[in-house]
Amino acid sequence: MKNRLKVLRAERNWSQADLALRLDVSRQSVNAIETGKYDPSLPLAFRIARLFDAPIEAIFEDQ
Amino acid sequence: MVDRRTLRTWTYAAIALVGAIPIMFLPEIIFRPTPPAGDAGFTAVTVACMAAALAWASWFAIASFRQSEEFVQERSKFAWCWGSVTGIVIAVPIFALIGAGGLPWIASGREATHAFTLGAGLMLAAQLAGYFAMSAWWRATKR
Repeated sequence: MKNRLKVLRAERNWSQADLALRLDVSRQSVNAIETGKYDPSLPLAFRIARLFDAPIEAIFEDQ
Repeated sequence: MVDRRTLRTWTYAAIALVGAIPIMFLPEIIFRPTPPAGDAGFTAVTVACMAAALAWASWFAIASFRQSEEFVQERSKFAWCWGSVTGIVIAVPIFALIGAGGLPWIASGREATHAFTLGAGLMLAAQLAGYFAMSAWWRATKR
C-alpha cells in the first residue's frame, strides 16, 4: 500500500521520531509504514488521519 | 535511547523469565536429595510448581505483549507463527530419525528412543491441539 506519510511529515518539518512521538509508536514503525513495508491497522490509520487532519484515503492509496 | 514503552515491555518480559525459573526449580530445593522417580510428593510439588511458573510467565508475557506497540505485536505474531511452523517442519524428519534409532549418541536403546518419541510426539500433539483450539475459538467468536 502506497502512502503520503513522508510528504505530509516533511511539510511540517517533522522527523520520523517527532511523528512517532505524536502517534505513540516507535520510529521503526513510522519508517516501515513510510517505506510501504508495513500497513498500519485501522485504529493507527485513523490516528494518522486525525493527526494530519485528512481523510484516510488522502494519505493511503490502495495499489 | 530506549523509549519508556519499550523499557516497560522488556521489564515485563524479564520479570516473566526471572520469576518463572526459580519457581520451576523450587522442588529441587525443597526435596534434597532428589527422591527417586515416581515419588508421589515430589511429582505433585513438581507439577504444581511447573503450573505456577507457567502462570507467572504467561501473566507477565501477556502484560509485555499488551505494552508493546502494534508493529512489535505483529512482528511477534509473525515470528511465532511462521518461525514455529518452520521449526516443526525441520524437527519432524529429525524426530523420526532419532525415534528410529538413527542417531544413537542422542538416544540409544529401545527405551531411550521410545521416551524420545513419546516426548517429541507429545509436543507436536500439544501444538496441533492448541492450533485447533484457537482456530475453533476464532471461528466461534469472529463471525
